[in-house]
Amino acid sequence: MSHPDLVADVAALDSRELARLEMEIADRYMGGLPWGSIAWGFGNLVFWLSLWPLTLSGLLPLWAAFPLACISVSLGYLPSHEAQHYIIARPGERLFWLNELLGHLSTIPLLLPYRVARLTHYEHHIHTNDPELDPDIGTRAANGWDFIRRSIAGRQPGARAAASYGATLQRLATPEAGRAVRDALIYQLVFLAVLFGMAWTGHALEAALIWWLPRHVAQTYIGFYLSWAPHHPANETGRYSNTRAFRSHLGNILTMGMQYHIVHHLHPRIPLMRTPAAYWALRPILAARGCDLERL
Amino acid sequence: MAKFILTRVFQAMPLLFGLGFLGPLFSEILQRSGLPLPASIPTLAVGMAIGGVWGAIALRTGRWL
Repeated sequence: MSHPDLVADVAALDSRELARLEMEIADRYMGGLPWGSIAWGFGNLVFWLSLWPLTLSGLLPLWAAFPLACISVSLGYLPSHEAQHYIIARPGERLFWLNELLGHLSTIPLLLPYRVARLTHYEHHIHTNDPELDPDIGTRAANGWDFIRRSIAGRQPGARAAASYGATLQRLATPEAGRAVRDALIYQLVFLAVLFGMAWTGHALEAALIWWLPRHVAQTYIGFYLSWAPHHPANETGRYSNTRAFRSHLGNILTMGMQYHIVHHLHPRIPLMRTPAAYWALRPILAARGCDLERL
Repeated sequence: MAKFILTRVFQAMPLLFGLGFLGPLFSEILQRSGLPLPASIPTLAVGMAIGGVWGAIALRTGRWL
């Protein structure tokens, strides 16, 4: 919890002093190697991959594999998210290869190429809640049920939201964006080849229940907690107003730490597992800035 | 040339997905459910009909659901 002295102190600070204090506190939570996220990313991929031989050999029934696959595919995004922000290592550092490896591998079950994820996520940070430029603006919805309805509608072949990442890469028009488009094409073709190949060799149900449907479930779950909930109502674009803190009945772990997502938007290089502690340390400053901290 | 082919393939994807994946998937579901089919209609034919028609509708309307 926030130190009472800090709560009293920040009220007397002007904007510049608040910014300095905010950076000073945030700095304490940056740095170091997030081993938890690294183990999570690689371990989760191995877990998901193991579901294939386990079900195909009959060791694991499909009814049990399906919920496990839904959880695993949903867990695939956040380790890559740490890599997208170079939290494991920055370009030129000794462990940069590990950063990139984690980024590329952990989102394979989600079928989200690392380059696409990184470039579009940076655009989301720069243009949060901008109706034209935020690639995640399609998750804006009146309430949770409206989000689920829109999320499913947004994945239909003719939906505008389905093309938002492609449109963002096209707008960026950089060589890296070109490589991201190529990656997305390869991912899609490999995904379809696996689905079609398994379907025509008598394993359509395995493909559907370990990859195809879990990916849809994960996209909805991730979109809900990583995008809709922390940005709702997604009308503000200011640094201290474009993201909120919220309290969920599911708690911190089942919301994948997103109750504290406001800390990530303000200081993206703070590792995920330290955002709760950073939030409580920064809370008086965020309150002084007028952030929406709801009941958290 | 490759770009042209890929564009056409992805434009037709709902139909291809219906035939390439949903058809065999419905066939497997029918097989495992043990639902009796009239005469000697193979489950794959029924699956392909459902997948193909659904894919064609998705291709035309831009919506699966």
